[in-house]
Amino acid sequence: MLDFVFAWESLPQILRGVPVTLLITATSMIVAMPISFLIALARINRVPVVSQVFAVYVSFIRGTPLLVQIYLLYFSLPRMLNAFFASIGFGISLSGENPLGYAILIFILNTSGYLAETFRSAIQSVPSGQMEAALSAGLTTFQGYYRVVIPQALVVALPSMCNTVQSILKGTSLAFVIGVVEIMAEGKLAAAYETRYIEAYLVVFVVYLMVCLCIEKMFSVLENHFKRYKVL
Amino acid sequence: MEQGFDLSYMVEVIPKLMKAFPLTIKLAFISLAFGFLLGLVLVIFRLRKGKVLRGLAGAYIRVIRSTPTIVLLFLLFYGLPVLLSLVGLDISGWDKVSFGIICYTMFSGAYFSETMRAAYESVPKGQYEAGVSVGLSEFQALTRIVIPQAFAVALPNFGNTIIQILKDTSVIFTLGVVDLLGQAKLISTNGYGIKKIEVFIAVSLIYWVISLVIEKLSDFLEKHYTKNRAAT
Repeated sequence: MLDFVFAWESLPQILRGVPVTLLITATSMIVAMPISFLIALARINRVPVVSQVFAVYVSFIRGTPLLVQIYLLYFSLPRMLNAFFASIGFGISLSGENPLGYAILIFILNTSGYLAETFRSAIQSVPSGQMEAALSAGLTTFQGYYRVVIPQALVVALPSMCNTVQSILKGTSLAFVIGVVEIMAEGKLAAAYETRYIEAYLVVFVVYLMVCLCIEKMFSVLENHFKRYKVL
Repeated sequence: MEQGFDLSYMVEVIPKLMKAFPLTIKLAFISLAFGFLLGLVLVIFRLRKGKVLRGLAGAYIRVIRSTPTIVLLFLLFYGLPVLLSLVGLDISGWDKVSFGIICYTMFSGAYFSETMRAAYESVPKGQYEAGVSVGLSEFQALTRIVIPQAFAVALPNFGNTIIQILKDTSVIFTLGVVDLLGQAKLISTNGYGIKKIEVFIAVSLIYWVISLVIEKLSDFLEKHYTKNRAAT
């Protein structure tokens, strides 16, 4: 009943989407981390204006569906970027022609919103005495964060970050609506080619499962490595 | 070529978008209701001593958490009819929304069960033991002492799950169902294409407002529920 031969043969094609998926996921995560950290800091320290703007931003990202964000940003970013470049005299005319680039931008914005909340609660879970002790021992604020607070905050944040990365990964499955050829798109192509929908999507399902498991393993290793910074 | 932002159009378009609002809400809340029941079953399995049920529930939850919504949706849409036809059930007349309900039930069941499990485990064992030692039956100790306390812990997470599922319902648009997002896409393509941004901003605002309302409701319920309880 199930054409396992087709399933096996469609695997290489579907796997071709994995690098794109991983690229979007990794780039979003890596670029979002410093951004989210700054947002978290701004909100914790209640920087006037900035923290309110960020609060609205985070609320918007967390309150609207990813698919809606994808469409919204895909239609508005080219115009906004054009206007921005025009105002600084660049004069480029961007169109929606590089969906991957826009997808990465969209996911960076999305991830930053969620990660900012994770970081905010993680940083706040580190006792404020740590920072005070660091400052009184002569460290600069930057050093206080870098050497004392962040390592401890990271331990708390790691499990959430694992969830976040898996969320982004699953979210990339929606990027095909703007033309990005990632795992889901390859699956749809494979399915349509032989009209073997079930087998193709089963393969897609298994691929996502495997990648998520790998991510979990990776974070397990990271969590073990950072255990020594655990707040007792 | 660059049009100004048309605020009045945006306001005009909201009633048209709201035509799809009932469908989104119905889809979300029916799925959440069934999902809650599923979550109860799953958490009961998870907390048992027997390895089989525990492993089954655990595996189900892990698999669901590694699967993108759209993948499960497509798998159900293409696979369920074939699967059920093997046992002689013909569901070819089913509405696409039904597959959505099954899909979101499966997801919310997993999320709810994790929330319930964490909440249950956060109540100290001593509470249950105290209850039993004063003469309450197992069932009474559970329902009168443990569960009310667990409920207070679970409430914020329940709110989060509701918001999550509500946002996720937008994915059913990829099956061709006209939900809020589908309505937005319809309006934007029927128009002149220039007004796309306004439509998507409007729809994202609708989702945002819904999320904020549920958040506030959840906060209110939590405050009200824990008002007369001693902190554990």
